[in-house]
Amino acid sequence: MQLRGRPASHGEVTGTARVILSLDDIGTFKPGDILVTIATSPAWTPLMHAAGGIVTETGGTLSHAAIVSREYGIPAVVAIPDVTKKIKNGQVIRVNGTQGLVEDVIWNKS
Amino acid sequence: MSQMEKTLRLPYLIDFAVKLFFTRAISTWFIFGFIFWLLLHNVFASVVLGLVVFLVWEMFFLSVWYEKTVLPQHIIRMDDIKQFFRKLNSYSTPNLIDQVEETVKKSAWSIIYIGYMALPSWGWEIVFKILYPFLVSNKSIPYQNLLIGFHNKTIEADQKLWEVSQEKDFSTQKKQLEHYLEEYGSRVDDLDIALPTLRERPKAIESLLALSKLSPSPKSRLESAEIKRGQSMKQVEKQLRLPASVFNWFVQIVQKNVALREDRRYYEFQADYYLRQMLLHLAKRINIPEDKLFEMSWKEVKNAAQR
Repeated sequence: MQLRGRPASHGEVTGTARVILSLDDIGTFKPGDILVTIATSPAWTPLMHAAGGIVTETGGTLSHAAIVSREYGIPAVVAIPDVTKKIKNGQVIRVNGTQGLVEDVIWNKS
Repeated sequence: MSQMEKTLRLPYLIDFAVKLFFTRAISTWFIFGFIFWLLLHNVFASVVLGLVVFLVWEMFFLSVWYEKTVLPQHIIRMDDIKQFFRKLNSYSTPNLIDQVEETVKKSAWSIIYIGYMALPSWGWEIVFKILYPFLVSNKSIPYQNLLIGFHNKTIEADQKLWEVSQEKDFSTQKKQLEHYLEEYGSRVDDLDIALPTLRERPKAIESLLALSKLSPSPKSRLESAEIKRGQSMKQVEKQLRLPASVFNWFVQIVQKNVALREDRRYYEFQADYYLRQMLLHLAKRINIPEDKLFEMSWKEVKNAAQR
């Protein structure tokens, strides 16, 4: 699986994907996990700060997710339609924020 | 958008947006357009050139107006709201309704006037993004690297939460957390008074606190970003197609506006927590269930209060 979006913050990271749709559901999130969500807002920044990478369904290179992730030096890819449905919780993924790519690591190894 | 937002705050938002458009945008645009009309005697060219000069004018001078006029006024308005909020129980129901409307008005003013800062803060970065490939001969350094590593309210808030999370004494931590939420807890997911602020989501706060405890400090990340910016700047300065002094002047304007953009999000919805609490307090007084309140129109709530 390879998903293409817009590169939002440079760098590459591999980690466990956590699909978060509400701030009230972040109990399973661990520092370094990849935050996969629809969009972020100012209330989400402590979560973004803990994330190893960020992937969002909406937004552009000047969206909230893009600006905060570049400030924190976290690789991020934005604007991947239905990414919260395509990526499963616990899946190991690679986020390439320079090229705007998200890949399933297990799938690539097999 | 909830019924309450549509009927309570949206009319004020529209009202202030129209006022701002006519008092600041149209008037300045008209003056520039008129000057061009005197010079060119061409209506279409005057309108277009007037708009371009107006946008450039706003991009240069809006931050001054924002810092000297808008932000101080917003702080005074927030102090008024907090002062009223402390005496919430002492007001009669009709007075409470008046105060809710007054608070909504103040909140709407801040959202529109502070929100207007988006014009230069996004505008400068867009202009920089477009011009960057023409200003620098080697594009290996992304333009974003020159705009990171500046203090802003987002980093300040995350750093405070991180400091609270590191506190080992439970009672001290509790006090620090209350202070944090008082200062930074009115952050919202979107423009809708029906949405709870961060301060009203204890489960989320608990999880964020646990996450912050295990994460590096935001301040250390800011310092890393600052170093990265410095290194990028040194490399870019070797590849410039224009004098370094001109480029540095340009970059500094963009950097200042990028930092203002991040601060803007903090101030815009600062009144939301107090406004929601006033509405919930009013609903409790007149026996409207919390889950029904935001589905009702403001008129329905006022009618229920009069019965």
